[in-house]
Amino acid sequence: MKEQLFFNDPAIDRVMGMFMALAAEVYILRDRNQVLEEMLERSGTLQPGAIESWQPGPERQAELAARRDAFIERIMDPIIGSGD
Amino acid sequence: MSATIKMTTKAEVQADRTTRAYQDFLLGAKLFWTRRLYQELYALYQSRVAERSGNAPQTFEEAEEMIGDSALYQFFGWLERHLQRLKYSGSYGIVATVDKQRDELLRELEVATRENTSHLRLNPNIEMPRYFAAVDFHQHPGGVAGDELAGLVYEFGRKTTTPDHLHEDDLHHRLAAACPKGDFKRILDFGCGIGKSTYPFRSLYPEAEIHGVDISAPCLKLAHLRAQQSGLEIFYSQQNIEQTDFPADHFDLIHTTFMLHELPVAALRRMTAEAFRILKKGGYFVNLDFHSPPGETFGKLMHYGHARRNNEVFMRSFAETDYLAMQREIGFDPAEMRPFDDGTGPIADPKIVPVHWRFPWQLFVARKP
Repeated sequence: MKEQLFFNDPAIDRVMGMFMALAAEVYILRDRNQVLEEMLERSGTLQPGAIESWQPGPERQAELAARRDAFIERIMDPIIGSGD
Repeated sequence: MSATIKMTTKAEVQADRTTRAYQDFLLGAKLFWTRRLYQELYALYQSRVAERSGNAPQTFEEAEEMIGDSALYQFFGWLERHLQRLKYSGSYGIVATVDKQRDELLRELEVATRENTSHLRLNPNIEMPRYFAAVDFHQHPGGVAGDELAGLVYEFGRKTTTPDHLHEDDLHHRLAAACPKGDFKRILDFGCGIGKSTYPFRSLYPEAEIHGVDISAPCLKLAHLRAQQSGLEIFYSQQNIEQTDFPADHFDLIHTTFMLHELPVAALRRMTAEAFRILKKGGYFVNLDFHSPPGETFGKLMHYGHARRNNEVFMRSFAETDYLAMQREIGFDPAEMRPFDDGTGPIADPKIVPVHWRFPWQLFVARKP
């Protein structure tokens, strides 16, 4: 069956697909994280509030920044159109 | 009544945490759609009508033309189609989940098929009508007979479309309770699918012979398995409901559950005539289905739009058919339609637009004189 289009610009139909897929992934991660934190707290491995008060050292901070930049690059790269 | 064999096979689809979170996400999005988005859309509809000096559209097409260019209606349509599609076909959809356990589930279904064979009559040579084979009804990929595990996919899918506060089988008990009562000897579930609609009649009429007919073997195998798990004696057979091998004047009650709207009008007529033939004189034909959407043209906009967006190919032609007149032409008398309470309340006033999106549940009750 032919796929149905709903928006004036069919590109929006596709972007909506990406958006919903991403939103679902975010929800799945949140769900898993929440379960994980609760289990860790209940087992005593994680102190309540420990995540909020956590401060990375300078070396760890640099690692996290590099990871952040790589993440942003993966997402933003298609905008440049270098793949065409 | 002879005792049936209690099955140890489970044939339960196991969904992991990720799949459950994903389905929960889709359900949340769907609820937002049925409440908030639907209400916003109705507000927009009313304001567009006001802009036309209260000159409300009279047909579905006119209504869609009036509102179709709005971003809101476009998002509404996209979400209606794709939230349902993702439920089945998404990366953590039901099809993928069932596929992961394919071998084990198939083995369990086959074991059940070989047990108590007098209660399951399959016909491998049955010819599928085109209207059935060609449509992925409600976007179930391949339809309810296209894959050997289609019954399990359907069963899992039903759980995610039931209102929060109810169990997915609740509706079937409500139908059984709403049917006319009598000293029934034989009861038939026409288009019984996976059998959930058949079971309540088993407990309501312990002395009666209970039958279920469907064209889908995968669904019947599951119905048979579940019946045996629960120790319920039910006779299932794979037949085309337009022409069965039951003798004339055979059943006291024949019932259908969301089946009429899956049939093109010509098949609907043939099926209804077949039900009339195999019913005893004085027997009842009861149908739970969607008809006469409330809320005038806005109701039509929602119902026919849903039909198109959700691959309910014959839902509109059914809604536009005067089914009571068709039943009377075939010979039923009386034949009537009444609002049905699916657990969220029956349609209170056919003129008023419901507060949330809803199916227009109706109960058809006809009698063979």
